[in-house]
Amino acid sequence: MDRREFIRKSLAIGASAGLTLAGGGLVDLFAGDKKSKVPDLVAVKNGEPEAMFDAGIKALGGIAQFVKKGQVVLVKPNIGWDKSPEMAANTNPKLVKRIIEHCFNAGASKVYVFDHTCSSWQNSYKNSGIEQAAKDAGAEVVPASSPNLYDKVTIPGGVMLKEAKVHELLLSADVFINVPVLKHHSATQMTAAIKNLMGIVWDRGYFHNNDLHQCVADMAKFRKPTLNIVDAYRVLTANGPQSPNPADVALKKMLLISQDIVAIDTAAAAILEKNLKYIKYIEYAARDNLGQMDLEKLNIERISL
Amino acid sequence: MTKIKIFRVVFSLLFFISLGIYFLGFVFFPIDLGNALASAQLIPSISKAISVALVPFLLIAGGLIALTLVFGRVYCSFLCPLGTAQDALYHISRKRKKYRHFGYLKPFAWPGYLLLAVTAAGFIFGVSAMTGLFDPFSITGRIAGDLIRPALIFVWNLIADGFTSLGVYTFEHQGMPVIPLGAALVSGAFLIGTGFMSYARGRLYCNTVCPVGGLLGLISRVSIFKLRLDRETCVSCGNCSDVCKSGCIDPKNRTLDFSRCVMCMNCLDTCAKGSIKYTLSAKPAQKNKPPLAAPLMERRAMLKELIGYGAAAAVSLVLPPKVFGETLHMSDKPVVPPGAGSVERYLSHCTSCHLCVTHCPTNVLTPSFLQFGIAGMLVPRMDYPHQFCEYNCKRCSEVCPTGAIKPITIEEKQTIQIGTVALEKTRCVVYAKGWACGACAEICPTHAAYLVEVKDGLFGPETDNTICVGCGACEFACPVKPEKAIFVQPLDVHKTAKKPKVEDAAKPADTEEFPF
Repeated sequence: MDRREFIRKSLAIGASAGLTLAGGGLVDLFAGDKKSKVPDLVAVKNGEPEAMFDAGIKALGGIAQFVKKGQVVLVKPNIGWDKSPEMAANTNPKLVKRIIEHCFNAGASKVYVFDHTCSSWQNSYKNSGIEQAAKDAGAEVVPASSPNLYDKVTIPGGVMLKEAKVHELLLSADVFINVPVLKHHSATQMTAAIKNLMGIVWDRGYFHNNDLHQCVADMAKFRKPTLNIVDAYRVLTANGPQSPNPADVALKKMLLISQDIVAIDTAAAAILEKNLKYIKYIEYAARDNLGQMDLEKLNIERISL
Repeated sequence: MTKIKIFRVVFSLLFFISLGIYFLGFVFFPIDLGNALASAQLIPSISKAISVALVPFLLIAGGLIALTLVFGRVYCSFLCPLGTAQDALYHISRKRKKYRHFGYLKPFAWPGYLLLAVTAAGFIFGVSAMTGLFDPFSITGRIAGDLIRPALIFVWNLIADGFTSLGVYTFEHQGMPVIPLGAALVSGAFLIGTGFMSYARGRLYCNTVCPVGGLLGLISRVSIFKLRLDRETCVSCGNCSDVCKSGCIDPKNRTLDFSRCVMCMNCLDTCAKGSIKYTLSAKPAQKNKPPLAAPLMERRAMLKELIGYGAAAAVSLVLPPKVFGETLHMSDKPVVPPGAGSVERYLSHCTSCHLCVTHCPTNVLTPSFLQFGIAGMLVPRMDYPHQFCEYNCKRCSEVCPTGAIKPITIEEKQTIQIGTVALEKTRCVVYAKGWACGACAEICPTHAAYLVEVKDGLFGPETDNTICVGCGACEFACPVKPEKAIFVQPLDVHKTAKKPKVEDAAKPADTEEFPF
């Protein structure tokens, strides 16, 4: 990316982020009076990851509502750890594969998959099963292990996090699909959609050193995901974000889909049975108009397979 | 070219290239093959016999000695990677100056015998860095690992980054190994030293410095088959001497010093008179007409040698283990990898070939310079906090050719405690600033660093050294700079950590209702 293109894209994303913030506020005003027809949040349970996604995205009118023909899609799962799918430290590879298939069916020209891993990236990509699953579906699995892949950006409205180095694909992709796995997280009590955004930045040490909850909430201000899909098929309920103990993993067989990153995390916290007051980043994000914490005000479609 | 020489050239090049690829740490190269190649090296196999498995590796080392005993120093021309590299330079040197005469060199084996004694002393007293400093296998490994590999990665990354900036992600940016300047300078000195010696004088290094060459030279004096120069038919034309890499043929006096001959077989087809023959040494080629001065020469050479042994023996006695030993006990010793057993054991077997360094996927293993003291110079160490040791990896123990890092299973690796965790709460973000962090607990593979609620909704780290393996992940992840709040304290002698608690998988919940 050359400098001119970089500035152009940064401005475009900044502007769209600004509009989204303003727009989000307007939607909230309406939401108070009347629930929209298209569900704000879809919750699916009691199925395999693929079937749950099929049903959930259908309720939102299909992925074609979000992915247009010829667009470049970034699917960002959690691939943080060198753990097998059974250990529930990474997003379920079957779900990732199905999402990519839907994107290509809708005419996506390219689908990229990456995560800035915590364990060695080669091992994490491989042993999570996501590299193979994504490649099988036709996506390009991209490294995120070198600072050269990241571009410095400013965070609009960042309280503690004013600038960050984010993966260049986040700047260039037309569609950004955030696909976290729901897990307990010992420091922030929960990781799902908002916390998954730490995998798009290079310097995570800054987050840890400067009020983790606030920095995580700030990160969500940079680019609103087109779609958030929370994998709650296997849920790590304790000793997260990665545990050597299989007893910490619960088979919940659930899936959440929403454009509202705050709402989806609020619902996820309920599944994890965590007190929202401990997961401060959700509260901070809601305070800065990134979404709706009051699930009563939303149109939730609940699907049981 | 004689057939046997063609075979020598092809074989040695194949062997050298294979070993070179393995040395450079390419992951596609099968480790078993790499291990087989490294086993055919004298110092690693002797080392591994002492450190890991006596019988099989003693048999291999014995086989290499027996090979020399029968055929002469074929090891030096067929199996030694540094030998082949030097041959290539010598070849270029001859190509560039067509009429360059290498000619006869007077024997100057003193440094070699001295280093042989130092090497032997290294083995006996357990100071293997001394063993490895002049070992041709380890030298080649260090040149490949400390100089060539970083250069290759640099070029690779230029290409990879170029493609990435065009939106092509096929080529992955590789992590750059951190080689301390001192180590790079030592490897560079050996590269230039051996390179210059071979370019100018063929196998000069092998016959004046190399301890392996020194040992095999001694053995080849009594080998069964020998290259012999027939004094009767020799006309002192010097053709053989011109192509002799070892400079061991003296056409003037019509002698061939087989102890220095590396069996390159260049001379075989240069003699118009057929005076050079590879024959049973028991069959004397010459009749009773000794040329002038020859017996005197031999006697003098013998005398010199005896003095050499005396001096070497004296050196190995004058430098008792204490002298080496004391430098090892420094205050901040580095952490040594799982499988090393203890710092002492590790330092007594590692010859610094840097195979573990080039194969380490996280680059946590880096060459030391003087962190282990002079006696442990260049021995790899765990480079905390710049990197950490992967919980699910034991590649260093798979590739180590000397057994300094002994072969371990992944289950063993995950309970070997190479250091213990220490937490300095006054520096910790949670305790000092009241902010959530938990980077250490998040990444800790055993949860030896774990979080407890310190006040309402704020979770801070505590540590449990019964299950800590000392992998350094917490130290790596800790965001506090410059001094980390959580860090690994090295263990001189590795211990066994308890396994982290593992229970059966939780039962699947009955179909729950949505809690919202």
